[in-house]
Amino acid sequence: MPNYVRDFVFVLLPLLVLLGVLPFFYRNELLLFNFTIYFALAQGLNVIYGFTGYLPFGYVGFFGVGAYGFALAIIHLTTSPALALAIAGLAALVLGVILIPLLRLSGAYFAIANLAAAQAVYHIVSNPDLQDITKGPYGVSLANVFAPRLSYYSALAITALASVVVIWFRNSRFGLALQAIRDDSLSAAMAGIPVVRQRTIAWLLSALIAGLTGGVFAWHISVFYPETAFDISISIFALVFALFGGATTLLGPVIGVLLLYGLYNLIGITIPQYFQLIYGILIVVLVLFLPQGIVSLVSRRGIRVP
Amino acid sequence: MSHKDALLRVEQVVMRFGGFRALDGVSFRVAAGEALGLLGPNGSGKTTCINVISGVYPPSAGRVFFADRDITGKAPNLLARMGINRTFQSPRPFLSLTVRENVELAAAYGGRGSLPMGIEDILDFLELREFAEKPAEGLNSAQQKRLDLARALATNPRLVLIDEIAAGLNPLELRKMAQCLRALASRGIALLVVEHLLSFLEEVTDRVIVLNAGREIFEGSLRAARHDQEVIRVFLGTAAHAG
Ligand SMILES: Nc1ncnc2c1ncn2[C@@H]1O[C@H](COP(=O)(O)OP(=O)(O)OP(=O)(O)O)[C@@H](O)[C@H]1O
Ligand SMILES: [Mg+2]
Repeated sequence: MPNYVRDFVFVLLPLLVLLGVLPFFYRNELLLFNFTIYFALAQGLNVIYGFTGYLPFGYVGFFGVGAYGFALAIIHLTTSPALALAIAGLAALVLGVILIPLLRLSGAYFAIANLAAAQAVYHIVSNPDLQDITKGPYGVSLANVFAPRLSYYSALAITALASVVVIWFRNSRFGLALQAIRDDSLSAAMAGIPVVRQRTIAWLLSALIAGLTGGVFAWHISVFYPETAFDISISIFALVFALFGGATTLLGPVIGVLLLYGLYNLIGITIPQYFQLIYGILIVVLVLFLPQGIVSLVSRRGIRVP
Repeated sequence: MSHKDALLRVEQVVMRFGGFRALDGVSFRVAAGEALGLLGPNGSGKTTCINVISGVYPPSAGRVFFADRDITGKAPNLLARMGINRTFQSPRPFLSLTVRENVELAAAYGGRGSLPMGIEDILDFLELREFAEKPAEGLNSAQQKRLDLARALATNPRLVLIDEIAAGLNPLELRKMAQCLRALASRGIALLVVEHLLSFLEEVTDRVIVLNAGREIFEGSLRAARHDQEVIRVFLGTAAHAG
């Protein structure tokens, strides 16, 4: 069985089936929805972090822009939710293009600059002077397109899309070249790899995934505020889930979301501020001591983790 | 050598880092299939010279021509596709990829036309076959140096810039590496060989240029260089003596 088929059959398919049928048996649909959102975001982060090494602390910026792209399309253009989702993705792509110069920065500088960019977008969106356009700090309401089932399954489709990108990267020459760039960008260039173009494609795909996820989030929760859509803990959570499980694999982020987001929902929901702190610290510990995540405890022994 | 014969022409290249001139008007030529030695004490600008030719940074002044095309300031991936490649003073393979993946990627992205040597031939040629499926991370430094060279060869280069590949090799490895480089030159691949170890260099080529403080102080045969007063003076107490 080719590796990409294996990745699909053993990881993505079971996940999709599980998330697909659970709403029929389990009442707390919002919780399922949130899990689905994080599966998508953790894989979207995997696309950029796992394959290029860039650590985007401001990843939530794309999510927030997607959420607002969706909402403003509904409010001002009265589009269908499907078209609004496309606009959400497009909005994140535009932000991604604007932020391409950040890819020249390395390591912590990139992480900080990206975080600052997300903050800047948040302040623009929540600016009371832009109330006519963005509703400023007062938030948006999308009750007229509310469709929880449909938006749930759209989120699932986006999770599938994000996972397919990861499967593609893991099992193609394109993805291998990305990993080569991550290991040593000068060597990669000397091997003839168009470093800037490849990185940019990965960056924009990652932005697109977060933007679509933000759009579907807006659709599902229907009423939200700038601080909901640009909440830094969304970045932190997605990062820690991908890192904890193991970036560059398909399975790692899935495990990360199941364990850590599960844990958060079991005991963290009453003390969210501590979890933001704990998970923030966990990111640092992981980067320093277990950069390949817990799946590397297995892959280290030469076993291929899907 | 006339203009027409030169594969690589470096003309009056200056490389400034801040106020410091690492290269201060360097000019030389390498013909197709020729091996040219590049000598000089530590910090004389040898690696900088390779960096400029391979597009790591554009020179502050001067020009570089390859096969009569001006390649000054072109990006490394474009140069690789034109047939220029290199190794690194401390090897820089893709550590998380297998040895075979390292070589395959270079062939896929940098390769020009069909390879005269296939990937298996290259792995055999550089004695890397037995590690082919291992991550490059697990190789020792001598093996990583060979992998750097293997990756360069996989792009089917016309010119390879080699930065101190002999340093740290044992006598047997040295002999084999010298053989390898001679074999490449005899296949028509031009080489610019930066080397401290003169006993190694003389196995590969006789024509050398010598840099000191970013300036060329000698061009001619290695034998003549050993008796040149200025060369002896700048090398006093360094490798040239021992070699
Ligand atoms: N990127 C850089 N930025 C600043 N200075 C540099 C840079 N690269 C090289 N230099 C300086 O330029 C000079 C020449 O360096 P280079 O590495 O070319 O020497 P070299 O002849 O290769 O020496 P070695 O034999 O030690 O390898 C040195 O003084 C070095 O410190
Ligand atoms: Mg050097």
